[in-house]
Amino acid sequence: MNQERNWRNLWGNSLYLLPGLMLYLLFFLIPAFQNMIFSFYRMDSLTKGVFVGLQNYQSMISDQLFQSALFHALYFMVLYATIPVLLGLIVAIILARARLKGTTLLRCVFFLPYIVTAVAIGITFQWVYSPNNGLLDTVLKFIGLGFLRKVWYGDEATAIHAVGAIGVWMTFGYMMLIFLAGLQRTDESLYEAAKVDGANVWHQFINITIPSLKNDITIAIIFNIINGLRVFGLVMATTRGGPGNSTLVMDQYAIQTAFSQGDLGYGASLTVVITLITLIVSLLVMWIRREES
Amino acid sequence: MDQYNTISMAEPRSRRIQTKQWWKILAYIFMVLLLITTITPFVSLIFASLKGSIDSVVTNAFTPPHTWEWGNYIEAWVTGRFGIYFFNSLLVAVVVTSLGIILGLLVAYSMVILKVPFNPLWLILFTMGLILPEEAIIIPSYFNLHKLGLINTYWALILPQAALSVAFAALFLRPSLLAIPGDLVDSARIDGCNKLSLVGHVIFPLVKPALSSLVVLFFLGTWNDFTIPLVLTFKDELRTLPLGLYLFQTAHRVNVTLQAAGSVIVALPVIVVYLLFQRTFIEGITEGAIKG
Repeated sequence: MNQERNWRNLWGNSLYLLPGLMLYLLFFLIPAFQNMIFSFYRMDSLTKGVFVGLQNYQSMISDQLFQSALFHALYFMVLYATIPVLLGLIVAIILARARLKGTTLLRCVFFLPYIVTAVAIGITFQWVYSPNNGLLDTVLKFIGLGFLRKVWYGDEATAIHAVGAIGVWMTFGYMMLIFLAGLQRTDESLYEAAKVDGANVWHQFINITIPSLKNDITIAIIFNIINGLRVFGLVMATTRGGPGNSTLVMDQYAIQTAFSQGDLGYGASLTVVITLITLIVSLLVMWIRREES
Repeated sequence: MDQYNTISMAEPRSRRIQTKQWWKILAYIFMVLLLITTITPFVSLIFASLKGSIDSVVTNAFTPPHTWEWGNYIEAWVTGRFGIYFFNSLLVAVVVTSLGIILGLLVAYSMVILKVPFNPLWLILFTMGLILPEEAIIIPSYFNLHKLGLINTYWALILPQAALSVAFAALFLRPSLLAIPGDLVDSARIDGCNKLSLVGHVIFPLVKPALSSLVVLFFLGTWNDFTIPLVLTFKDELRTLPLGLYLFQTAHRVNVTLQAAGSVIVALPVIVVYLLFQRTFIEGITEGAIKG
């Protein structure tokens, strides 16, 4: 009976909860709230802070750099939500259904770009985009499209697309894995029944494969949108926000304002915006989950 | 192909096989092109890192080097101080992963099995950790850690990431713990198990697959993280690999072979671990997506 009391001992039980909870509260949740509070202040240094209400947000609206950074954030979110997802979907379906030789090898290789750190990948791609001699330009010349050559990183119009393409290359493998897992869960007998009914490959695709992946598609899109918000490392290793702020991303702008320019308050308000965007996207995930279960 | 023989269909057999073969050839071509696209940057990186003269990298990164200058790696390692960065990345990754998993398991245990009071409250609090991004805490962390005198120490790198990991681990492990039948726990208690040994002998073996997924996710996440080390450390001795590599790139703008060698040094460990533990890796990532 002593054992029983031991098990019901509130304080003893709480000891299991408290360390993790404390760590989490002190170094994550409370700082997150602090961030909101900081955004209402102007902080010139770590000790001086003046309450300025919504001033930071008001200046943000007319801030051209903020507008650029926000626009770029949206660009990456939309790009990441579409092309890598589509590519990953196609690859997953081919690998799962077509029964090619070397599927394991392909699956292994395609996921490789996702696990290497963005900085290393950014460095690697300088040989792809280097003017005239880089891989892209060489290939274009080779297939007779040499007139399409550009100074990829140097041209404001192309720089962000160049970085975006790297992002697609990096994330499609992850999307592929999500869909492969989803496809594995699909019942083979559905396909058998369809074949008996006379369905060809295309019909099977539309009526079985796509519907069974509906949830995975949503999850993949949302996860990659979140990835799209995390392009900071990649941008720093490639264009660093240039040329001329054409690849400036929110993270970089927030860190620049907070630490290089010493305006912690404005930096905090920028990160609040980043947080809000991520929050909205993540809440979407949870809403979908609830529908699922 | 055999399935087609036993099923009656409208099209003549020869046409059916032609269409199917046509699709397959197309698929193969597509896959090979994609494979080339995926591998080429890596190959060019390795070539570039082994070349003797910078010029041949600039003019054509995609031809194999004439001589394999392994010395580049040594030079990069030493000039780039990658030894220190490697150690730091390893230390931080191991500590964050361990803290996150151990504390997260205990938290989940306390919530599910020990049934601590105010369970829904803790659940909500931890869930907020899943939906808030890293960016939300970088500025306040800088502020707080400075006040605590912990800026520019390993704690600056460890604590924020560990805090987030605990929340993720607790929520990730909850379903696995909920799935444990109550009878199992009860019979263990009757057998004289106390709270702690229950965790070790009963719970731990049952959640091992989930734990290995967490190890992969946390390790990879911490290892590749760029933002937190950038913001919270200034001493070179504390930097982690991604940050070290970034600064290395800045310091050696012209010397691309050195940059390449540095990148290989940073990328190789993860790739090797990935290739060795592919199954665990892939399961970890997909589980993280599904349960996260």
